[in-house]
This record gives sequence, C-alpha cells and structure tokens, in this order.
Amino acid sequence: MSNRTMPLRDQVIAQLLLALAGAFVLAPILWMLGLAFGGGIGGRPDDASLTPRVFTLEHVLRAATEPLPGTPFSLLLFNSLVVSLGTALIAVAFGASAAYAFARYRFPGRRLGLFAALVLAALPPAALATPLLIYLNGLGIKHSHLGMIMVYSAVAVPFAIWTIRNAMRGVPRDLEDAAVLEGAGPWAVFARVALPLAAPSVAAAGMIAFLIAWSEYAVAAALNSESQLVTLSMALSGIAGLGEASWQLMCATALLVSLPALAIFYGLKRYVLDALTFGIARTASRS
Amino acid sequence: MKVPLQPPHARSWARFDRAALTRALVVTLVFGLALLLRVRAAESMALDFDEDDYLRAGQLYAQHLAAGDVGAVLAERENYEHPPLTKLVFGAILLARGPEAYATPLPKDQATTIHRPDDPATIQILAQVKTLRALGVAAGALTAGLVAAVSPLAGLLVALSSWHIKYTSQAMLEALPCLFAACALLTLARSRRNGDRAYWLGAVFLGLTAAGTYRYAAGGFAAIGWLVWRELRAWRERPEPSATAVPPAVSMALAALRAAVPWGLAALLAFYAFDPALWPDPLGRLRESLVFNADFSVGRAVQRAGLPWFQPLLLLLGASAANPGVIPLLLDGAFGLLALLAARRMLREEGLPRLTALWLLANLVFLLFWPTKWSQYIVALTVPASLAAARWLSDARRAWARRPHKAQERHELRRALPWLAPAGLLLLAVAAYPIALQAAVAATNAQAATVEAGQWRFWQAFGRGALALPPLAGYQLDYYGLAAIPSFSSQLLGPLAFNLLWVAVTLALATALGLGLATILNRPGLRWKAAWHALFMLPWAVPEFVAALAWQTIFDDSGALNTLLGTQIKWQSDRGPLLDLRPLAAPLSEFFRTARLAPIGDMLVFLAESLSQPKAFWVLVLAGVWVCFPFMLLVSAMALRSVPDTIGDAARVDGASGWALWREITWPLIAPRLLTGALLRGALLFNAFYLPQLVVGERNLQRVQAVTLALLAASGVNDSNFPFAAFVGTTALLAAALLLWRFDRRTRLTEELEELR
Repeated sequence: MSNRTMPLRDQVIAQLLLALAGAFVLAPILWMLGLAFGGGIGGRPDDASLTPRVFTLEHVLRAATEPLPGTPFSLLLFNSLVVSLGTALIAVAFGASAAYAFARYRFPGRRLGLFAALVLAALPPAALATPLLIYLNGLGIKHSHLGMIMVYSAVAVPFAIWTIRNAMRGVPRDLEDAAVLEGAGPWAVFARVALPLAAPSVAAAGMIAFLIAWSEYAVAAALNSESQLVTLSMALSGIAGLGEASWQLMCATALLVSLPALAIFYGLKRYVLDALTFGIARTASRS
Repeated sequence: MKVPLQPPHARSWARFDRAALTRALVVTLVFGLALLLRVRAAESMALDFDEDDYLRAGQLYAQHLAAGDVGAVLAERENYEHPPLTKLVFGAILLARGPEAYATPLPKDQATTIHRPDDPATIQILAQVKTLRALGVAAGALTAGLVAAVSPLAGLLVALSSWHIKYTSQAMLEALPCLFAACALLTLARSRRNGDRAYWLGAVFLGLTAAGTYRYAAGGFAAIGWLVWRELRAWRERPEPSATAVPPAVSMALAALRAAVPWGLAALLAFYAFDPALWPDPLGRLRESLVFNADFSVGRAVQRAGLPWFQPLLLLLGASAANPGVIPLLLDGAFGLLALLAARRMLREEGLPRLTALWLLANLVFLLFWPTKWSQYIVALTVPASLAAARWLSDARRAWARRPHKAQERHELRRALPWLAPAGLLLLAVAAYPIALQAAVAATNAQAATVEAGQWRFWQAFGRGALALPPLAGYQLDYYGLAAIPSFSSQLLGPLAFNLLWVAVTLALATALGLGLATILNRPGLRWKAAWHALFMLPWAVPEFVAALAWQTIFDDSGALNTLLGTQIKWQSDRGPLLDLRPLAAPLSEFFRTARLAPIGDMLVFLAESLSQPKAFWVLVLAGVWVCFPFMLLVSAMALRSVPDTIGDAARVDGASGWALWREITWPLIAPRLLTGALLRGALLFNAFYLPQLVVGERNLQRVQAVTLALLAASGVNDSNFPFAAFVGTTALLAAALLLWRFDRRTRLTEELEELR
C-alpha cells in the first residue's frame, strides 16, 4: 500500500543526505581528476592548490604515450592485454568445465572443493606470492607472461568456478534431460544447453578474470623485473615510486587503467555484482 | 543345579577373542614406539636446566638411604620447592648404581654455569644424569601404553607428543606425576557412583600425582567438578521428596558436598602419605614449599623471561623446539587445536569425555593464571589433550563414513572427473602445491640458498627432518615442525590484532553507512534512485590500488587534506595515537600486579595497546570504508527488499511507530544477512594488500607498528626471512578460511539446492 510520492520536505532531506555521501564518494576521484587534468601539486607543498588553476591534457597525453621513461604505452598495453586476456581465457575454459561438474554431479568432496575455491577466490594474488616466487623460479617461467598468467589463474579460475556454477545451478534439469533424449552426448549437453543458458555469467566470469590480471601489480613486480614484461599496472606502481613530483602523471595513468574496469563493471553490472558477491545478493532476493 | 562344563577361568580364556588380542597388540606397539622415541631422546638430548639440581637431590637422598637413616631422609630440605617423590626414586637408582654415583654430590647451584655442551664438567654430569633419565623414559612409555588401552589413537598421540617426549626423557619431575594423573583420570572415569572402588582409587592416584609435582593437582579441581556435576544431575532426577524440612538449595549443596568432600579428603590423605617431606610438619612444610613457588612466580627469573600470560596456549599450539633432529613430526600443536575444538562437545557427555574435557580446561586455566610459564608445565595437558584430539579425529572419521548416498556419489565421481580434471590439475599446480610448500617452509629454517637449491632437495631434507632421520649431507635445513609457533606468534600478535581491529572497525562503519544509504534509497517515491545507486557503486568499480593511490595523495604530508586545512599533520607516519587508553591501563595493571594477579593486568595492557591506534589506523579505516561500503550497501538493499511489505503494513495498522517498526521487525530480519555480507567482505578486506601498502605506506606502517599480515609476509620475503613470511602467509590464509567457513555455514552456498529444501 506504499504510495508512490514522497513529501517534498522528506525528498529534500533525503537528497541532501545522499549528496553528502556522494561527496564522500567523489572527493578522492575528483581530486585525482584534478591532478590528472590540472596544475594541482607541482612538486612543492607551497605550490599546492585544491582546484586546478589550468586545464591541461599534458599528463594524460604523456600517460598515453610514454608514462615511464623508456617504455612506450603500446608495450605496456600489449603486456597487460596478453596477461589479462590469457587469464580470462584460462578462467573461462577451465572454470566452466569444473563449474559444470559442481552444478550437475554429487561426488564426494564437492563441498570441500567448492569451499577451497571460495577461499582461493577471496585471496588477492599477493597472498600466494611467497611460495609462487620460489616455485616458478624452479620451473623457469618466472620472467614470462605465462608465469603471471599462472599466478592470476590461481585466483581467477576459482572465481569463475563459483560464478558459472551459480548460474548453471539455475539451468533447469529438464532442459538437459530433454537434450539427452534427443540423443545429445555429455559434451553436447554442456556446450549447447548448459553453457549458452549461463552465457551472461560466463562472460562476467571472463571479465572479472580479465580485471584480476589487469589491476594487479604486486605479484607481477615480484615475479619479473624485465622491462619488456612491464604491464600498465606495474608502470603505475613505478610512477608512484618516483615520488610526489609525479602525482599528476600517476593520476592520469590510474585514470587510463581504471577505464576498462569501469566499462566492464557498469556494462555488465548485474552479472558482475552477482559474481562478486558469490550470489548472496541473489540468494537474498530470491527467498 | 547345573554345573558349568568348564571352570570359569578356562571359559574366560576361550573368550579371549580377536578383538582383545588386537587391542593388546596395539597397546604393545604404542608402548614400544613410545619407549623407542624416549630412549633415543634420552640418549641424545643435551643437559637441560634443573636436571643437575635433581641429580644433586637424588645423590643426597641416596647417601641417606645408603646410611639407612630415615630421619635424615625426612629432614632433607634440598630442592624443597618440589615434593620429594621423584627425587627419592632418583636416589634409589643412584643407590643401585653404587657409591661412586652418589658419594660426592654436585656442588649446590652450579646450574647456571654448566650448560655449555663442550664443557668437560657438563659432559660428566650428563653421563650421570642419563642413568636417571631411565625413570622418565619408563614412566613416559607406560603413560602412552596406559592411554592406548583406553583409546589407541590417543595413546599414539601421547607417544608422539614432543613435549611429553622431551620432558619424560630428561631427569625432570614431570614423568611420574603425568603417569599418575593419567591413572587418576582413567580410573575415576570408571566410577559409577560415589564410594565405589574407582572413586577411591582415583583419589589415591590424585594424591600420588600431587606428591609428584604440585602443579598437576589442578586435575583435582576437574575431578571434583565432575563428581559434583554427576551428583547434581542425580539430585535433579530424583523424585520430588514428599515432605521435607530442607529447602532445595540446601539439599542440593549437601548433595554436592557429599560427592566432593570424601573424595577430596581421600586425595589429601594420599598426598600426605606419599610426600614424606610433609610427615614431620605437614602444614608448615607445605606452606614453605608453596610460598617458595609463589614468590618465585613473581620473582626476577620469571620477570626476566618475560613470557606472556597466554604462553601456555602458544605452547599447546606449538611443539618442542629444543632439540632439532631428535624428535620426529613435532605436530603437537595441530592436536592441541583439535583437542580445544573437541572439548566443548565432550563437556556435554557423561563419563570419560566430560572428565577429560574438565581435566584439560582445569589445567589450562591454571597455567594461564599461574605467572611462571616454563614450557615443561605443558606436559600436564598432554594426556587429556591427546584423549580429546583422538576423540575429534574418530568423530570426524565416523561422520565421513556415515555420509548418505555413498555408492551413488562414487558413481557420479567417475562421470564428474573429466570435467573437473583440467581445473583441478591447474589449481593443484598453481595453488594447492604452493600453499603446501609455504606451510612446509614455515616448519623449517629455510634460507634463500636452501630454497633455491631446488625443491626436490628441499622436500627430501624436509622429510628426513620430519622423521628425525640423519640430515641430508651438504644441505643446511633444520626441521622445526610447529615448534616455531610460540616465537613466531609473539611477533605476529600485534599485526594480527591490528589487522582484525582494522577489518572490524571498517566493516562496522561501512555497514552503518551502507545500511543508512540503502534505507534512504529504499523509500518509495525517491527521485534519481538509479543515478544515486550508480554513483555509490563507483568505489567498487575502481580497481583497489587506484582507490588506494587516491587516498594516498589525500593523506600525504603535502596532500589534499593538509593543503585544505593549511596544516602539517603527519597523518601517515605520526606515532601518537588518536585516542590513548594506555595511561588508563597502567595503574590498573600495577594494581593487579601487587594483588598477585599479574595476568589480568597484562590482559588489560594488551587491550589498551590494541585500542590506542595511531592516526594511520583511522586513515586506513576511512579508505577501507570508502572501498567497502558499496558492497554493504548492495547487501543491505537486498536484505531490505527481502522484508515483506505486508509485515510492516500490518504493524503500522496496529499503530507501531516508525522506529519501533524498524527495531522490532526490520532489524531482526536483516541483521543476519548483513552479518553474512560482512563476513565475506571481511575475508576479502583481511587480505587486502594495496590499501595498507599505498594509503599509509609500507615504511610508515612499520614505523607506527601498524602492519597488516599481507605486508608482514611481503617484508619477510624482502628480508629473506622465508620461514616467518611463510608462517604469516599461512596464518592469513587460515584466518580468511575461518571467516569464509562461518560465511558458508550461514549461506549454505556450497550445498546443493536439493539439500537446502
């Protein structure tokens, strides 16, 4: 019986409160934008100004051409894309198949396996850096794209297992049984029934895997020190290490790094949120 | 009357069936293993503190015994702080060895000077002490065999317990009281009612135990608690007396006294009987002896050791580190943990389980409160902890064996395997194996060189160390098992407290903010709802390290905040706490110290120190709230949406006010969901790496002593302190797993939908 209108006074108070929270959300972002596009801090504290005095694209352009001395943006982007797409591919391919097993079969140890995947998915790759450093050294893939992809897979694959399993659990069993009656083999049931019906979640899983690799630098920096393998995120940490004189460049680069993340998040919002909460948001709304 | 065909004893032989034979075999095996391990340890362990003191006492007793002078035995006050039982046996052993073993006793108080292994005097004393070690070896192996007769698995755990091996294989005073305490525990548990044979036998054994070493008498409190518990239960089940003048409270108290007092008196009597030092002047000498221990516990030696009040817990969760390469496995801590887990369940069961749990807890509580924290004290926990851990393990095995649909599950596993194999193998390689490697590294003293020499060599040396085999030639690696936990933990505790506090405070604030915003957004008729929602999701969409960088540039010394305020506040590096509780705790702690309750004072100081956080903490909280609140907003929104409108409408018709409506209906319905969300977000935040690293900066975090586990592990790697880094990494993983386990228990996400219905 809730009426669709709200008294004006309440409306104003609510909007003011929301605006206050909005200011909290926006403050650091606006500050970064100000630094990226403006004069901002010029290196010395007495130069500092809250509002940019000038509008300039200088830092953004430099970030988009050669953010770190000697390493062109294109190389950074290439490295980031190779690592991120590689991780996404592995996460979707390996994750979807395992997710199918977890959604369809009741085998011993399935709950323990799912729980282990949950723990791994909740870890930042940095948590595995210590042993992996020792380990990949022994395999001789420490300084390579493959090494980084392997590390990110340790987190991205479990995440994909959860995301896709939750989606496949919603696929009606009848559909699959019907396909079997039509003579479909196990592979066809998976590839032509279960997978297409879970497609949005599969896409979200891939995108999240992409982002895990895209926005990580701690492990990457620990794993390789070769300039040919530097990713965009690593470059950002490199700039941050240059001190406060480089804040504008750092913020400009951070902006560029954030763009794909924002696009994926807002583009696939419903599915990404579902995946990032391991489905509890949906569980809550269902019951 | 029918005459049996066979005499009774022959029939009992016929019934000596296979189960009994197996049990006898198992007991023998456990006893043999325990004996083997202890003989080896006694042969190879260096001289420990106190062993020479007991040798001297034994030599003096041997002299009196040789002279046949009972009066001198009773009058002997050497090492009077401990009851003489074990030392008398030492004297008897020396007497049997002949006069050269005791004719010239060690000079008094040589103890502090003789502990260099290559010192000739030490070598000579060690040779003499080794004959005395035989007593502990025998008593220790007997203890394991005795426990194995009741529970083979528990017996095995006793046999393998590194604390028990170490302190029963040395000429210490632990072995006999530990054996007697085990006898007391196991016999008393067989008692069915007050005054039966097991009841009295248990009391006698407890008296013997206390006559061995006073500390072990803590088990007596457990015994009395158990007896009273049993009696009160019987009292409650008794039919209501028809007409009696006694009020129930008095009758209950009488029942409790009836159970406890005779038993306690019997134990005291046995204690007196087995402690000859008390015979001439019971109260006076007991007082002297106990006052010595009480004074010692607040004296210089204990203060200098500076061990925390919870040291017994660390020891229970650790293992003996003193002699690498002598004792295999060193996994006591794992079983200690299982014992603590099982204890609560066991308290609810009559008989041995409850008595075991009480025995464990009584001794643990005593050790936590007693200010002296020497590591041999932990031997008092070995037997009850082994029984409890064995119980946990057998419960787990039974639950696994009893799971439904076993056959069908096996069938489905065959069909699921092809789908699981690729991801399974990949994760084994990139996750499970590294995590195992990390745990293994934490159990050694691995250095960069050892680790880089290759993993096969590492695992080889690790395996040899774990089995206490001779080390690998030319490869430096000592195996410590869980023995390093006490020392690692003391370094870890501050960061762990900081990390947990940060997560808790951040999530509480983020939940409040998220719930507040969700409540506003949930109001019907609000305008621009979608736009606000999209805006509030922004911190979630931004990569974590970008958010961290933004906050870094704000709180930097020349960042936005100082520019805006025109101040020079060192938000990131100032050590001064924003809110200092320590001056408040100091006088309180001093008060408790003078009242001989130092542990309580220590706890207060610990609490005050945890809460008096520097500015960097609150900076981190603010950044953490910014990052976390969108998650909590989403969870809150979903939770609010799940509250049916009809309930609120009905309540409003009944005249409930808005606040009452919220408190009585909305909050109880949404709180569980908020907690669930907070658990998941908390597990993620607990391991957050970029927020602490960037917002405050690694160097500043070290300076303000506000390190999180993620950074601690990283700095351990940077300093090539691999074992510590690996230990921190493993701990962080376990902590996250624990939070997520609670999360999964609440959501039942890992269960199938069919199971849910």
